[in-house]
Amino acid sequence: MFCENCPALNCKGSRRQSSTAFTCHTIALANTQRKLQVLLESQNKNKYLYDPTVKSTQWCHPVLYHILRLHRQGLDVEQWYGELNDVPVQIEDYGAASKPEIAYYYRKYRLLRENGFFSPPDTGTLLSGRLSAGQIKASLANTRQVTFEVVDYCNLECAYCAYGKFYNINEQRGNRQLSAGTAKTVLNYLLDLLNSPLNQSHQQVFHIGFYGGEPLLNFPFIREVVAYARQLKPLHNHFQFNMTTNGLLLGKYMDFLVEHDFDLLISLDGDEYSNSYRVFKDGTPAYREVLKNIDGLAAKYPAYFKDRVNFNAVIHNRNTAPGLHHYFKTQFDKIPSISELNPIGVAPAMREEFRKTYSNIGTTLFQAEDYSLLEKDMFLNLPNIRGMKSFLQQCSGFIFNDYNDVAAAGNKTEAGKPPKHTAQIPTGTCIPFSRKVFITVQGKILPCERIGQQYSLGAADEKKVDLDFEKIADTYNTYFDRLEKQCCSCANWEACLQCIFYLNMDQPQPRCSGLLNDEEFARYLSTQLSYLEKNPQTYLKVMKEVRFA
Amino acid sequence: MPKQSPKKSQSFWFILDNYVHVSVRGKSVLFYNSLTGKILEYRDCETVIRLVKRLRAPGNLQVVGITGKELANPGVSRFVKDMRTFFMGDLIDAALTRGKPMQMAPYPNIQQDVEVIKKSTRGSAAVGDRMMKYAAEVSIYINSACGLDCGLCGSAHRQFLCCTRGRNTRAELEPRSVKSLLQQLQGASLARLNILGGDIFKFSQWEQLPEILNAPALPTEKIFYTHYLNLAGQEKKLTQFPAGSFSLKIVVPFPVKTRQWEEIIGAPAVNRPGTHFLFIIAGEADSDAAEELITRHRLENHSFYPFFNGRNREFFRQAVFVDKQDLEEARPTMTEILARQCINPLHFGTLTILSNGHIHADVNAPRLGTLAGDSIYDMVYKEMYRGSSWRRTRKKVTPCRRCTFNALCPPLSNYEYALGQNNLCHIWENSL
Repeated sequence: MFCENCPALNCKGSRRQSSTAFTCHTIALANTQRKLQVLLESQNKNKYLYDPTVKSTQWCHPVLYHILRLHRQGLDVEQWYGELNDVPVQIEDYGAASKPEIAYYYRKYRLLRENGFFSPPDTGTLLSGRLSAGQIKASLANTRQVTFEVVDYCNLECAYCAYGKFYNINEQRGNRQLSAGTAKTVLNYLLDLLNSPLNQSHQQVFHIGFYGGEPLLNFPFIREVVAYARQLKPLHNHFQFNMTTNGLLLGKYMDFLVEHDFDLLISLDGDEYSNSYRVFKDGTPAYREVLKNIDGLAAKYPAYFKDRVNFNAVIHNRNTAPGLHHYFKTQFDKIPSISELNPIGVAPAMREEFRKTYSNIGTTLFQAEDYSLLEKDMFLNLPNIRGMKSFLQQCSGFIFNDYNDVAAAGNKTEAGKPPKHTAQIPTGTCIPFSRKVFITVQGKILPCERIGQQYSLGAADEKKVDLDFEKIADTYNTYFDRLEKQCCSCANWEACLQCIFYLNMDQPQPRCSGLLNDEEFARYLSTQLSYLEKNPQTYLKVMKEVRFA
Repeated sequence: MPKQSPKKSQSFWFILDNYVHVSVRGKSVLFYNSLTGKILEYRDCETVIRLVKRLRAPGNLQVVGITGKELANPGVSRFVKDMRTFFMGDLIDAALTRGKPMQMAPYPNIQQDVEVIKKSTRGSAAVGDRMMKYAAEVSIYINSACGLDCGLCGSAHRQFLCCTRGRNTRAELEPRSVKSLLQQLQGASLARLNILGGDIFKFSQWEQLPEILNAPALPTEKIFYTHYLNLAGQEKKLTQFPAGSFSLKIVVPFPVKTRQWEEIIGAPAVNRPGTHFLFIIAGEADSDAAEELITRHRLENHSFYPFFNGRNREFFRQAVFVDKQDLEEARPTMTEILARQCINPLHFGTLTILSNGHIHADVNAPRLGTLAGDSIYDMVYKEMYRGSSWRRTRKKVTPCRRCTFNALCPPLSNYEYALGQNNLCHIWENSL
């Protein structure tokens, strides 16, 4: 199984080893010994070890790296060391290593091994976690938000709308609205759970959100639901309203929104040209109308505008991340959140046009002349920083979700034994309702507005909420069963962010698009470590400032 | 180390391993290898302090460039040699790489860090986000009545979990208050429920306890604490609880009353599986006596609890105080060290309800509220926000905050209160 550059054969000429040869070697290992430690090189040719069992990433001296490669290949390192004579060993990227040098790094290898490094995690057991009905009910009792899809129609016809021309949409939209009676029934149902002992939170904000289409097109619904929520008595929460709006009707309803202290997210893609995909049904640009309303709101309620109003911009081929930053900063003294177009579900006939329209944040951002200023302002909204947090959570061993996580991590393990892990569910899917509950215009209940309505978990009408927690658990667990094998073979199983509802679960054999083999995973780690080598200050900034929980 | 003596113009990278804990206080620097337990101390060593400052700079990430000229400095050379000898750091010729390596520095990031949340735009409301999951152990003193007159009563329970008679010997919790409390805890991650008195068998409404404590929604380990002398004749009361629904911790102070002890040790109540003996040790003689009982009766489950009676400070200095060697042998892991800098692992998640209804995080911490007047949610929220017990760490108390060992030492316990000093160690006194 060894390729010609195998370090066990003293790696003749290994310092000239091509990256292709190394790749070939890695693939050979990947097929035989998945899930052991990952050995990788940064762009600076520095060598690192990532060990998933102890959750640690270490810089490695080339001689130690050589020994770790032997270990990874399944060689008996002790025997190898015992059989070494006094002839120096050729080490890749180092040269000839003497016996004392080898002895030193052999002792270091032993030290790491005695402390739990190199014990392969049993992913079969670790990913055997499944959801229970009780867990899902408790998750709903602790949810942070309910969002109502007020209407499924809009007074704009944006070119890239998720329900527009780019996407395969099976259901007809355009004339439905959610009844206030259904929303009240949902609120009553949730209030019972929020006030039950299953709710673990206290003095916590519970968000009631209004979403569309354009929610302000059914203002009577919003007024009635807000009035109803105002007279409810949650024991451990207080209600905060929020809305995502295109801003066209702001002028008409701003007094109400301010009176009820709405958190407002206005969709705007920047200046007039940048915003030119956001058009009325007749194709007329909406920019000037929206801007007039925003300016009116800022002028009439400056304090509210400062505290409660934020912007979301979609990035595409008519704007750039630095341009958006500049526009919102100068125009409104705001830092926008920036979204990318959803590449999932694009109709085959529209793929070319979608490709032309699509742009990602990173492309324009990293080319910006004032990148350091952008990084300072937009730190948390930068895609690479979000990715870095995820990477550090997985690989540093120093990021903890909460205090229980710290306390558990701090429990001593027997020396030489890997730390005990609890079984987790396969994929990166959220526990249903852990973040929010989404109610569609038809009363379908979903765990999020971003997943297809065919995956609804229950239904609500004016009389009752129909949620069968056993059935929901069964549904999820069936999906997990179908994906577990893939997850167990994935090198990124521990930090997976893949939601099952983006994986065509209707098919008998869904294929995970995020599956990484060892080689791809090592490349991912290498990219992140190379970034940190070039931008070391980002590490402490993330560790000190970034909180996503 | 370089293969040959380095040339002055040669450049190296020095890399500090990230399983090494570094602590600097004034002119003292401590390095601790969490894999081996080895501690290295440097005092008044400017060279090392300068190097450590460079290693810890945000732009360096535990890696600094060292020239051959610097390596010729005996202070630098000795330091690098020490680091390599004890597997704390390494040196590599910079010519072997295309650029500076990095090492992930051990800096804890708790996503729900209360102090960070308090300062954030999310504000104090987010402090209470799913906070009941932290309530892990609740100790309820259901009554204070007790017919015994132990010398340690009134102070032992302030040092470790133990029965106490209390000032008002007739104080008793209302069963409905206990029931309400336990109902509120249904959503918590309660792992253990300790029931203590006084003499728990004198609880006037004992017959209501089985139903309250064995509610199906509370699948928690339940432990009854009783003085061994109070156990005599109480078999019937214990059988009101289903077998296996609780375990017994028997408090044994010295000297033991031999006749009563012999009677009790043979009783069925004592011989249930899981019964645990807590021997209260105030000196060597107590320790010997406990050992004798353990051997004679082949007691499998037992613990020794040192008891400070005001006169045995020397015993504590010998038996409890830690020194550098103890810490090296204890070998705290890096995650333990990080945990000790953020929380008090001994007290985190604990709540104590006294027989007068007062609620504390731990018995020596300020009162959080009362069982009658406050919800348990309010209490947990208050403790999470203030952190006066759960997040009380050595870096917050004197003199430990000024000591380089503070993250290596065991968490603050209740003994520090009893002895009136936070440094139960031979380290700080030696460093004075």
